[in-house]
Amino acid sequence: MYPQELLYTKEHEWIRVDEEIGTIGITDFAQHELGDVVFVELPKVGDHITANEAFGTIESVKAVSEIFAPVDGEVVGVNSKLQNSPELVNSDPHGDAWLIRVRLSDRADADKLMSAEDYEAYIKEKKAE
Amino acid sequence: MRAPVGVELKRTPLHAIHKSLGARLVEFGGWEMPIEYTGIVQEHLAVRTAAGLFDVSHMGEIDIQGPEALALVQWVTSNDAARLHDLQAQYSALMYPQGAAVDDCLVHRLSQDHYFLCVNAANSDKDFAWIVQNNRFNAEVRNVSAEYAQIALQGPKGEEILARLTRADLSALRYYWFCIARCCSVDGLLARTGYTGEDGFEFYFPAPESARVWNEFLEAGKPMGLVPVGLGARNTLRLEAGYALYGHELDEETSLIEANLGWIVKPDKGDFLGRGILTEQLAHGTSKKLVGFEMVDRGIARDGFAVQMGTETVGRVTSGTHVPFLKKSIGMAYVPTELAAVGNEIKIDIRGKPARARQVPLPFYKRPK
Repeated sequence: MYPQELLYTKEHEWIRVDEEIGTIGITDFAQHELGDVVFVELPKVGDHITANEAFGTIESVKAVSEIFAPVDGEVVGVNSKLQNSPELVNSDPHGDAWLIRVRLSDRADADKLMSAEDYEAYIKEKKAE
Repeated sequence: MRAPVGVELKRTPLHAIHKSLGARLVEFGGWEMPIEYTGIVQEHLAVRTAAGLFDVSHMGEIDIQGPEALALVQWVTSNDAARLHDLQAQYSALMYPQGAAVDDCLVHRLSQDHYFLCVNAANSDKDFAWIVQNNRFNAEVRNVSAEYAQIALQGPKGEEILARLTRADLSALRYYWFCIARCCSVDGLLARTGYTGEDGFEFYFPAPESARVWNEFLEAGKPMGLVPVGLGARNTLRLEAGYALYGHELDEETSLIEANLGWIVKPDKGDFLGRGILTEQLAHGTSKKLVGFEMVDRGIARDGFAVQMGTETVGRVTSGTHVPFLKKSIGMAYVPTELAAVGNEIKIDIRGKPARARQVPLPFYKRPK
């Protein structure tokens, strides 16, 4: 279910790190909790994001959710497809519905995140609550 | 979405069925209710294009009987129940003397001395206590909420589906009329009413039968596209249809006139709670007014967001979201009366950023005839 090559946060974001570039999205668990996504608000290329701080919002019909940055970095790419097709977040959260790409300030930031295995254990606990 | 600690949530008799259908359950007005089964968008669209089945057993029912039943109903509600014929229903409001609603409700007249009120779940105890407290007549008032299950079948395919489950003459049952009908071998009150903006029916029947009745409805409707619908889509459907929801457009401080509900205020019927102030407001207007809007700028206005003029807050959004059928971000808000006009722009504070919205006529959605 949760791709091995991604790293995960407790706030249900994922990041895929290739060298100094990280691609960020929200997890399948998060999209399922939100329900039908109808609006995605993201930063612009050149903006700076800070680990554990909100960098955007995702809105479903029933709720608003902030998206938290897994790492520090500079935004180098924004998924423009989501402006007109926010529902991609529901259909392909770990793939087509990536949110932003960032240049990591410090590659070591990613070391603090969860592996797929740890994340799966984490959400299993969440679901049991 | 967490209930206050130590409060046991109430469950409808269909709770186990919702779980088995994979519904996501949330707290609503003291009840644990399904908010969605497969998803709000899909459920909403099913009701607009085919049909949806809702468990609304959490709604309250209050029975008023006796020779003075009509006198009591007339005293505590704003609409004119004397205009009702037997087996006719009416949208109305239970009133405070200050002109605000205790609750909004449906009044069904079974006979001249027997009325059956459907009220909001979270308000039913309050409503019952209020009616009893104001029963200076000799009417018999009973809170029968626990005795009844209620399911709503809504959508253009509703009549065709229901025809498979009852011998009642549905084509003769007009909007806001009801009959005592046998449906799935259960006798109940079958009304052509609803809260979705579509044609549809609401069936009140004895709670112990609810699981079987629900399953027979779903089974009969499946070939016509019937799906179970949760409270999430119930809310987006009623918002598109421009219906008020108590706790949002209506509350203990808001007058019916401010809420555009002057059409259920009938001062000519004789005295009733709130008549004085409502009559005054009907003649002279109010300082604020409920309006409908759609977003011009990107963004979604949510319940509670401020309406601004310059940097000043002049009003508040009462309901707002992105609705699935119209595919727009819409909402309702209270604004100063001098700003209320279709076409006028207002600004809404979306998390610190002012976003433009344009006032549009209510309802947002009207079903094709």
